[in-house]
This record gives sequence, C-alpha cells and structure tokens, in this order.
Amino acid sequence: MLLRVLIFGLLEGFAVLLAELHRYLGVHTDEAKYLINIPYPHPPLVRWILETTDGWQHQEMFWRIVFASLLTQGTWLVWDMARKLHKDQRVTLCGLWIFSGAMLLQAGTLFMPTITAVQTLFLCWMLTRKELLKQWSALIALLWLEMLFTAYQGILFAPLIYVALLRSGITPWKRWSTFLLPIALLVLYTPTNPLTIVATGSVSGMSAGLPIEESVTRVLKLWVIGGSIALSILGLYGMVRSRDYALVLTLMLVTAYIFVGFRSYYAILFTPLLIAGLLSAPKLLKSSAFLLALQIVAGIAIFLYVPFTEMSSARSIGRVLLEAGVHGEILIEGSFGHEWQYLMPGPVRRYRPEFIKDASAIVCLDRCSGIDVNVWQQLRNVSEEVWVKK
Amino acid sequence: MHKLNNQLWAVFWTMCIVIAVVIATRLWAMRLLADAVTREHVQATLETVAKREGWFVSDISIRHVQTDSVIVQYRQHVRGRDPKSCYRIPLQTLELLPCTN
Repeated sequence: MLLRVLIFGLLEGFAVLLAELHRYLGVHTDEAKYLINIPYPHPPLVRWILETTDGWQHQEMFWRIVFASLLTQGTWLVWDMARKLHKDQRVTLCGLWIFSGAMLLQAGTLFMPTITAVQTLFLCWMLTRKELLKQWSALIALLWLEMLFTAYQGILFAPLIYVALLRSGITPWKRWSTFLLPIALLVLYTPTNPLTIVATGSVSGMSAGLPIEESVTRVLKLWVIGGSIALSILGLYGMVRSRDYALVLTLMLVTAYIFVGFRSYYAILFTPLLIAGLLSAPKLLKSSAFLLALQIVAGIAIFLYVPFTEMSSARSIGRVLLEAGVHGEILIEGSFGHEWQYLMPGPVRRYRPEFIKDASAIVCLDRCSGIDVNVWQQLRNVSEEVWVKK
Repeated sequence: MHKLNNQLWAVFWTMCIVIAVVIATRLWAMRLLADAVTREHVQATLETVAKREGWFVSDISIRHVQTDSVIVQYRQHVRGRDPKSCYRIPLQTLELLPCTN
C-alpha cells in the first residue's frame, strides 16, 4: 500500500513538473481556443468543461496538471493491462509508457489529442478486461459518445470501439445503434458550426502542397516520438504479429489522418495503440531491462532534441499592460493567434485607425499607422511596439 | 452492478436524445444554409462585417438565417465573463441592428 502511495506521488510529481514546463513555455493558440471555449475546430464537450473555470486565475495551470496527471496516472491502467506478465515485464511496459517521447513532450499541454490518448488507453484496458466489458457495457457507449464530442479524431478509434461493443455481449441491434448513433449526431452537429468546416478544410489542406516524401517523413517522425523508437517498433510488430486487425486498422486510420492533417502534437495518439500492440505479443518483452534502459535514453534524447513551439510574446505584454492599468479594448495590428485573446487584460480587436478612440492600448506586431503621439505613449523595454493612452 | 449498468445505458440514451434535440433546433434555425447561394452570401456577409468591425470570425456564431438577414451572436472571448451581443444583419445593407429591432 505504501509503495502504491509512493508511486502515485512520484507520478503526480512528474505530472506537475511537466505541467510547469509547459506553463513556462506559454499558451499555444490551440490551447487558448479550448481554455476560453472558442467554438472550433473540435466539438464542445471538453472545451466547455475547461471554460467553466475561465475566470479563475490559475485556470491554465490547473488544467495543465489535470491533463498531465491523466497521462502519467494512466500508468496504473498499463500496469493492470500487463497483469498476466512477469513483474519485470510489467515494470518495463509502464516505463515504455512513461518514457515515450510523446508523454515527455506532451504531458502538460492542453491539446485534445492528450485526452483522446487517455480515452484510447482506457478503451485498450477495457479490451483486456473481458468480464468488465460484459458487466459495464454502458461505459463503452458513454466513452464513445465522449470521445466523439471531445475531438473529431475520436472517430479514428471506431474499430476498437466496435470490437469492445462486440465483446460486451449486447444484442446486435443495440450494438449497431450504440456504434452509429453518436457518429450520426457528430455528423449532424458539424453543419451547425460552420467554423468547424472551414477549420477542418484548412487542416486537411495543410499537407496538400507538400511532396509525398516530406509528408511520410513527418508521419514517421511522430511515430518515432509516439513510442521513443523501441516501443514504436515493438508495438507495431506486436500488433501485426498477433494479427490484431482492429488495432492495425486503427493505427492505419491514425497514420492516414496525420498524413493528411499534420500537427506535431498528434504523436501521443500513437502511444496507447503501440502499448496495446506490444501487449498483444508479450514475448517481445523478453530483454525487459535493456528495453527499459533504451526507452529512457531515447525518450530523454527526443525530449532534448525535438524543439518546443516558439514562445509568443503575448504573456509578457499582457503582464506589462496589466501593470500599466489597461483593462479596456486592446487593438492588435498584424498576424496573431488566439493566445492573445487569452492573455490580454481586455477584449482584443483587430487594429484599424478608426477604432483608436475607443481603445485602451495598441499592440503593433506589424507597422501601425495613425497613432497620435500627443494622445498615446509608447511603452519602453517591451519586446513589441506597445502604446497606451497618456 | 447489473442495475447500475442499465442506469448508465439510460444515461447514454438520454444524452443522445438531448444532443439530438439541441442539434435539430440549431439545424432548423440554419436550414436556409443548405442552399449553396445563401451559404456563400452569408459567409461573405460575415467576413465583410468582421473585417469592418475588427472582429474575429471565430467570435461570431450564427443564431438564425432568414431570407433577407442573418441573426448572429457576437461574443468577445476574454478571461472571465464574455461580453455578448446579438445583432440582425440585413444581407443587403450589412448594417448591425440590435436583435430587438
């Protein structure tokens, strides 16, 4: 019992450390969308939950710790998934999860694939617990609805959901309606939010102009990060060797999705699938100490080698404006992300000279014109050109 | 345990029905967008208004589409309570009229 509490504490400490790292790196535009519930690109469930704490000063850090904890504490599910294996192999499998590049790089970020990865891990765990699948078949139905209304990429895990529903022993009519109804609802939801269609179009168009070899290289890079090489290879080999067709099909769908609409934070989508793949051929875990050592070295190397997203100046400027007593409308000239909406002390509007009279501050990321220096003063020692009313 | 599982199934079906009703209501209000010409007209209208007012398109949500106008909610996404306002935008003049008019 004491050991369990100790491990829980260590995992939680690890989660807090990673969350603090990402807090230091700043809010990414996609994270800001979820924190203040900007209605695209994904369905509303999780961003609505995140928004409930919107007014709270520590909102960002709180959710970073929650997201990171869900991933690190997922180790308990991995431990239970490997319950039939030798203790050394179980420890190794947990190590492969904890030290995957995706875990080290993404635990503590507020991207939806993190939640999808946790949901997938839970699903893979349920699939190893046949008695639970039968007793708690409704959990699969609720998980499916939750996965789809968390993020569109939830649909990629349809093969695993179908197998889970099949094994739960419910009637074919109930199985098919449980499987299809949430998909139908998601399809119907999409046209009610025209922004989603525009955003999805822009994501799928991102890889359109790229040479095919570059797109393949990017997918391979995420696959390597997703499993820190050792797990990447063994997980894939395991699922193919054990002929786990649902897992292979899901991996193919995830790969195709990343190929079409690449985002660096999709790497975590591979990790639970690779864990399940390796578990389906446990003989591959023979030299477990060597594997674990390799995973730790590769995971740390990936963590040090893969660059993090460039920090936006939004946080430092937000702080400066707050200190300057700015609470009203802030005009911004130039190209900027949603993190500015999240980090500014007042509502943000695109800069136009005719809006100046109503504004409290102006941030010029590009050249601004029409600022009257008799009315406005430029702040010194700030990374961008920032003006406040005299 | 069996009883609790059945109750969870009831929660699932109830949630599906609630979501379906909410979506159906919104779809009905936006049914005119099924027509490609209207859809393009509304999109152009919102982009023009957003540019003119310095708004983000992502801060505008369509509430109702009529033959001659579109009713939108403009919500400034900020920390804390978001300021919201409702406007009717005639597709010909592109004025911003308060919803009460």
